[in-house]
Amino acid sequence: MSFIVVAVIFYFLGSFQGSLQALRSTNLLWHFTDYTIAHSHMTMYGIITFFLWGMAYGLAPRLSGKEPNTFLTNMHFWLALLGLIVYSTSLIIGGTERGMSWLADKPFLESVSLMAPYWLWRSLGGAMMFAAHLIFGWNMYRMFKTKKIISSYES
Amino acid sequence: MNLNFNTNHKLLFISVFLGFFILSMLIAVGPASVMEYNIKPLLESDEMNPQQKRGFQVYIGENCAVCHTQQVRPLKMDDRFGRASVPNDFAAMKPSSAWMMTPNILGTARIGPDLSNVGERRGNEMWNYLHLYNPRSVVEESIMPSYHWLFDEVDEISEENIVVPVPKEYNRGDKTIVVGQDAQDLVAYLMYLKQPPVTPSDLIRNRSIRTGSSQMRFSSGKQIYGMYCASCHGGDGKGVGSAYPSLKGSSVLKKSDPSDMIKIVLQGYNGNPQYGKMPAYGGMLTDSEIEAVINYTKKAWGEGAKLTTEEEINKLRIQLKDSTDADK
Repeated sequence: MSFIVVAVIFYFLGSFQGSLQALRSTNLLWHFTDYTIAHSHMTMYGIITFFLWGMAYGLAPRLSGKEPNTFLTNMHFWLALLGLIVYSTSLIIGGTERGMSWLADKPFLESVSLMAPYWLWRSLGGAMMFAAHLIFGWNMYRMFKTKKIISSYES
Repeated sequence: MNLNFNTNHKLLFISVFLGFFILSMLIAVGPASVMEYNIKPLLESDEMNPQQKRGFQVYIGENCAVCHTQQVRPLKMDDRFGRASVPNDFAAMKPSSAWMMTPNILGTARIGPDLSNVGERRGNEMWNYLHLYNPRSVVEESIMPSYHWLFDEVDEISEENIVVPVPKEYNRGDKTIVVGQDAQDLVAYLMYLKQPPVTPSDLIRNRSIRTGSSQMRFSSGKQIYGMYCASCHGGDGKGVGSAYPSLKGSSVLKKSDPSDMIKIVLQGYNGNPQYGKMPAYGGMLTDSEIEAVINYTKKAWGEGAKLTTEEEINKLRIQLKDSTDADK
């Protein structure tokens, strides 16, 4: 299942990124910035949530004998993945720029203004993730409502 | 006695539990309680008064700590927020009951500025009311939400009301805005957030602490202006509506004799009832910093007014000190 593959990739990425962030020199740049927020979303959302969805899509059909709609499942997957990528990439770039602005002793407000476009991208990514959740809910609801039983899972 | 973990499961579980217990006592509970008993608040009067305590609850309730830290690191980029935090700064903070954890106000993200020393940096209550009602009314670029529910909208002002001079374009309705109880408590708490000075003996280990006065913290007058002045007088010097005066076209600024302006910066100013009170910066800025910021404003909006010098400021500072000493 594609969800599990993404989760495994993000597990690797997130762990590597986390160790990188803990280095003294990088922490100086990234601490207190939105970089940290990108990292937590990549791990908690990219790993845990994707694993949970993989489990849900894997177990629910086996337990109920019904199957979710493939198109909706694909929509859910791509919206969540692209949303997460848009969300975290913009915060990683923005957070890095903000850290550099602080290190250069520029006025704090300048570091607020420079984040504005990245926060806009982040909202877009967040909206995509939220839409993905709605699709997931609708998909599951549809699946459990149908009477159609697919017997292929009865082993 | 059977000492084999494979067959004696009771021994296995007891050993695991004891190992866990002893280790957590040694590395977590022990050091924490040693710190709790050895680290004392810096001031005797560091306890909050009841109003500040209520304000602290508002601070927690409105989730201010999500975007504002209260820890200054011993780094140059953090100097703008105050001196580096020391464990003693947090010694007065206790959980409100045995069932609650100590409120986490240190924060992890600095979406907005650090507030450890905000009572000193933004020591003007009216500015804080305006800023809480709508941050954009005083800081145009701010992304902080408006906390208008901490205020009341009234048709008629009574004796005890504190009126907030919100500029028309930021008023949500057309009624007069007055300070609500929560806003008053919250601002009282923010004013309480002042970093007391640290002496090496306050600290457990005598680590070198960067203090603001020992070095030049800013590289230009523009930076100082942005840090201390722009919140009221505006980044462009135009002031804030009817609350804070414009520097552009100010007669004090254009004067060739700078002593009036230096006095205002050193002592603060509250001569004009129409406008908010200006705090005194004599204790916060050094002579060379005041020189830098005055000359920055004179160059920007003074229309060719003569610049000032550090000597002039120093002379006035001594004069003012002598005259206040004589008053006593």
